[in-house]
Amino acid sequence: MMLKKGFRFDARSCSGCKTCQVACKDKQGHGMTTRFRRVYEISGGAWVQQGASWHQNVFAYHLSMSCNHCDKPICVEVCPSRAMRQNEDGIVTVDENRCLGCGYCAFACPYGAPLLDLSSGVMTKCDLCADLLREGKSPTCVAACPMRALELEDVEDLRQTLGRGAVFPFLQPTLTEPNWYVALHPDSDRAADGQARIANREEVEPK
Amino acid sequence: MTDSKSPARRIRVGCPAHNCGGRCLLIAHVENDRITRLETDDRPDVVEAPQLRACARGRSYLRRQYHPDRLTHPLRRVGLRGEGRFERISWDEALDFAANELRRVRDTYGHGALLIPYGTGSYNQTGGSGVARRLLNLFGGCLGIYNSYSWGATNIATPTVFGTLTTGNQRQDWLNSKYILMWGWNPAEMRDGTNSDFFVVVCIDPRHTPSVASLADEWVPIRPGTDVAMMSAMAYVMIEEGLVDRAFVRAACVGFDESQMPVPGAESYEDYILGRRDGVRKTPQWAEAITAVPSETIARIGREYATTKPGVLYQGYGMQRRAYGEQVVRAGCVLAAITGNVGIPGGWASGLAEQAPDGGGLWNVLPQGENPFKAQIPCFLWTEAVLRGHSMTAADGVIGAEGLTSDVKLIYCVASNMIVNQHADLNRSVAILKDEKLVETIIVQDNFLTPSGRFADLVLPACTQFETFGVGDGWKYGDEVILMPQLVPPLGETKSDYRICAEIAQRLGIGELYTEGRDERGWVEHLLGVYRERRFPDLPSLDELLESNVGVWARAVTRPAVAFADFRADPQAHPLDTPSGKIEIFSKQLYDMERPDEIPAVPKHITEWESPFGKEAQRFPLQVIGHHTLHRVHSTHDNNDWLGEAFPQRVTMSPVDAAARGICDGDLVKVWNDRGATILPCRLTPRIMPGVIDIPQGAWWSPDKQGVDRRGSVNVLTSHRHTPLAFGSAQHTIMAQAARYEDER
Amino acid sequence: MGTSVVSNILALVSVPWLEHAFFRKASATTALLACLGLAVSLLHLRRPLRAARALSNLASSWLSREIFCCLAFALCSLASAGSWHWGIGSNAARLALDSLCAFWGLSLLVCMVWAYRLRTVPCWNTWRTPAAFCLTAAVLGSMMTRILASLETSAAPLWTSLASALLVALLLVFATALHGRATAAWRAAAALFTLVGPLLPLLTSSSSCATCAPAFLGLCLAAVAELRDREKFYAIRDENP
Repeated sequence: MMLKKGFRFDARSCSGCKTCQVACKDKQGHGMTTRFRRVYEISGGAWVQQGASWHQNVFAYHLSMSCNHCDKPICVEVCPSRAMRQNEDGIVTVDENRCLGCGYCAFACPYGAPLLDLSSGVMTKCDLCADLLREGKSPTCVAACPMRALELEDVEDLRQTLGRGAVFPFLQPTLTEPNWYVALHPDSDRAADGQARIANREEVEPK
Repeated sequence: MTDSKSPARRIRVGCPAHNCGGRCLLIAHVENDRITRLETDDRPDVVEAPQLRACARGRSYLRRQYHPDRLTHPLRRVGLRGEGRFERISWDEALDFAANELRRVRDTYGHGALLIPYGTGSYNQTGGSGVARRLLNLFGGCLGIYNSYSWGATNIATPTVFGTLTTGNQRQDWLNSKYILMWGWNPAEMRDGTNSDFFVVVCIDPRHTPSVASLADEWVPIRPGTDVAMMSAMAYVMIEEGLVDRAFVRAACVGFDESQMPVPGAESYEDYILGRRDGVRKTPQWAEAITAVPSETIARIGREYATTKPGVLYQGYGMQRRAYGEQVVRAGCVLAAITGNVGIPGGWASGLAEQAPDGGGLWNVLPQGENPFKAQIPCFLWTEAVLRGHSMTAADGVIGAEGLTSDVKLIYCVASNMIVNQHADLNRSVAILKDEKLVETIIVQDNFLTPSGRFADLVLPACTQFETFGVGDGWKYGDEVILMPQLVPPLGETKSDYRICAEIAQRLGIGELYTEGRDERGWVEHLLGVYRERRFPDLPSLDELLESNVGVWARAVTRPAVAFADFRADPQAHPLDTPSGKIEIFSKQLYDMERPDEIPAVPKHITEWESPFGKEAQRFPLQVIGHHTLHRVHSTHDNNDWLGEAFPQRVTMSPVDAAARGICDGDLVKVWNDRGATILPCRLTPRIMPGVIDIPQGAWWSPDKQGVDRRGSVNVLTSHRHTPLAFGSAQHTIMAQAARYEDER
Repeated sequence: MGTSVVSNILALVSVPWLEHAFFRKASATTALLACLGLAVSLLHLRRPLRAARALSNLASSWLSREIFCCLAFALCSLASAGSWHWGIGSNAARLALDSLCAFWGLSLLVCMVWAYRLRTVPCWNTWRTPAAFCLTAAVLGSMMTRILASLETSAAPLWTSLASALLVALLLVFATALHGRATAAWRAAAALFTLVGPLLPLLTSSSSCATCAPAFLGLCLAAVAELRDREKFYAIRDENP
């Protein structure tokens, strides 16, 4: 069963304010270091001085990233204990009673979604705020976005209008078919050409 | 307050009011007298009354609320001042000490020796420095302060052009604009922004800010402190190419050219721009050498702004916290005027921009009473009042009296980290405070032992805004009233700011006078009445608001008000509150001050007292700016670990400057000038202009054994020299040097 | 694990030149290393008591398959070691058991390669992964074989064997050191040692160079591949093609 509603992300509007990240931590009751949602800062460009003036072609955009509850979730495919599973509604969750804490799903996931919970010794991940969805509400990150850059919308429509997110620094979405549909920032092309780098690596990588 | 087995409740509550520039709504989950979770506004989200979605600071508030370092009981200093050694004392001892010291200092030196410094750690109407001001006013008065650290120059300069601070259209009107120049304005880190495909947004800023990334079509990096040069060159292009709205200038302005001079023969704006008196034509080429912005860009932006109408030139406030901050405010207002963008939908007059039609938010609704002691100093000059108060006069910005009668001898610092962390030239402030012969008593009242708290003789632990009743409005855009019902009991022995002041009042024999028989909730009920009377006649009562659990009461803005619309329609019938009744491109008031070099009558580019063009640049070649980071609200939240994780404190530097110094990304970097030094990690990024480095302001000063700050507290570098007209903060005008730092360990 | 696989393979290949005593030691070493490998793999589990569940996903997880092969390999090697030690069964039967052991060892190698070659991890999803794994296994296996063989020949003094063992251990230590974010100087030193170190026991040994030559060639290739992979493992995944 596939997800009915997926993330619509507007990379043109995201300011990198990380409210989604922090609101998620509050919802999940996380301490430090665990971040189901992280915000990548991608930047590039250079400066040239000509006489008295500086010329530049600097650009930057931000990407808010969490589990995308892929239609072909590789974490589910590779999990040796079948603790990682895709539910009836398409949401990918960890069965905490089965997980060995081997971390292989984290190695496999191109989006850094599964994280090791040091206190329980098992993997943990975003469940799309399934409890809120049942109450007819939006996931916490979506309801939090001050820029209205993150929405949860019907995947049928999103597939027609936007397509799955194919944007630097992430892999081709054909690999796992993430439910992350992206309105691209105009400078994404330049990043794809190798002109950009992740500027805030220590803020997004698991610790 | 609640049964210990009560089920979880969801209570809508205003986000604790610090001075962030916004007011948002939270939904607190309260269970067994503990807040367990914070959601945000869930009302329908429409342009007319948008959801007030809290930012990362609001959403991480529980890390502050339940921080292990919260003060829980009163403390009295035992070591040397500033050493940070305290002993626990009882509330009775603490309040007696406070009351006795207030009496002693008043009796010895008079009311002018008492000072409540500027501080915005609690902008809640029933808390913060406002309640302390009410106390001292009823006590017989204290040295007054006026103006603001945030927008000192704008506050004074805007009325010299427009006669008012209410120069902003309601924000929904931005959607009517076709061209928006965000000049040093960074709402993505400051407060609510806008975004649309229907207009062009150009961001002029030395930093490629989050606002540039998310809102702008173009980024124009500019050397800090040179904005007036670019604005002047834009005016030059407009004049040369016939793009000035001559009809509007003739009808509504004075001082543009010789035909409309309030002082015949004085230098008009056009004279200045065309170099008729000083021989320097303010061409884009001239400006390029100063601003580092390519001349063709300057000319193009000038043309675009003058021809793509209606247009907004929105001025951020950072660029007026600089050496001649008044000039950039006036220059921006003049550009708005000569392009005819004043008083029209989609236009913008610039300046301070309080919201039309009535000025927007009410800053203080809690009655503070009248201060019987009439003398006031500019808030930025409090260290001068400590060192030489008795000799301060109008020349030092004293108003309300000819001069001061004494130095400041007692500081009562409420929800304020100003006396150490946030004031300019931190090391100087610290030296002043350490001398116990100068300020004899320092009382600090706060949630945490801040760097200012470390210098206190008495520390009074205040509860947070979640632990008492409060109310606020929509800040500058005040179309809302936001209720803050008490959610949980005060932590430990903490008390609300109001309660502490009320108990001091009782000891001073003015208890009844102070409280008028009200507790915090009683005051909120009373203050809702004030809002009802002055802005929102339909505002429900407190009981109704609590019952409905709405948290926020909003008035939808369906037809956004436009500042100066009346004046625009008929300048004769609706004159401005300026001496001429018109927009004063040339100000006779300023002309009469006879200080043309620092306070010219028309806005001019003036080279700053510390700049890349002076000889100081040989030793200190880098300009330092200290932007407002999402990590903090000024210094509030510095100890919030989630925010520290999200926004690590770093000095931002261009790879160009780093390469010249052998600095790699992530290195520890020492930044210093003659006033101080700080050591912190760096972030190399092309998103800042070469020659400029940025240390986000507000980090808590953390000296090591050698006294060198290790946290990146930018005020160890800043200068306490004030702007010439407004006596305002010029803390962004700093030159410094930077080098890779090798730890001795 | 690769070590014992190839030691086994080489042992099989080398049958004509090696003696009973060698097989006793080789099969015991293999069993020991296989069990050690299994035990060590438990250590990185946060919930080792649930280790048996790792076999739950043979249908789609190469990691499950890898663990299955590893278990089979360990059991076979134990049986083989026992039969050599106590002289149970005929030589042919014991060699047949060893062949089965080698089969599971090779299967383990294949599963391991596929466990790393995930389509979502570009830096591992390349031909270099199987190349590196096979070469590493070949080199370490032949090294071990060489050491065990030298124990049996009086021509090589005991200290060269000890030195060999020490150097192999050091090789592994240094290879591990390369995992971390070491300084450039440390990396260079480790790389040099990884290349040169293992050669020393081969040079000091006076026994036939014929058995050493393929090991030597393999070693050089494997060392290069190994170095590259260590580098890649910690290189940033998303910045690799």
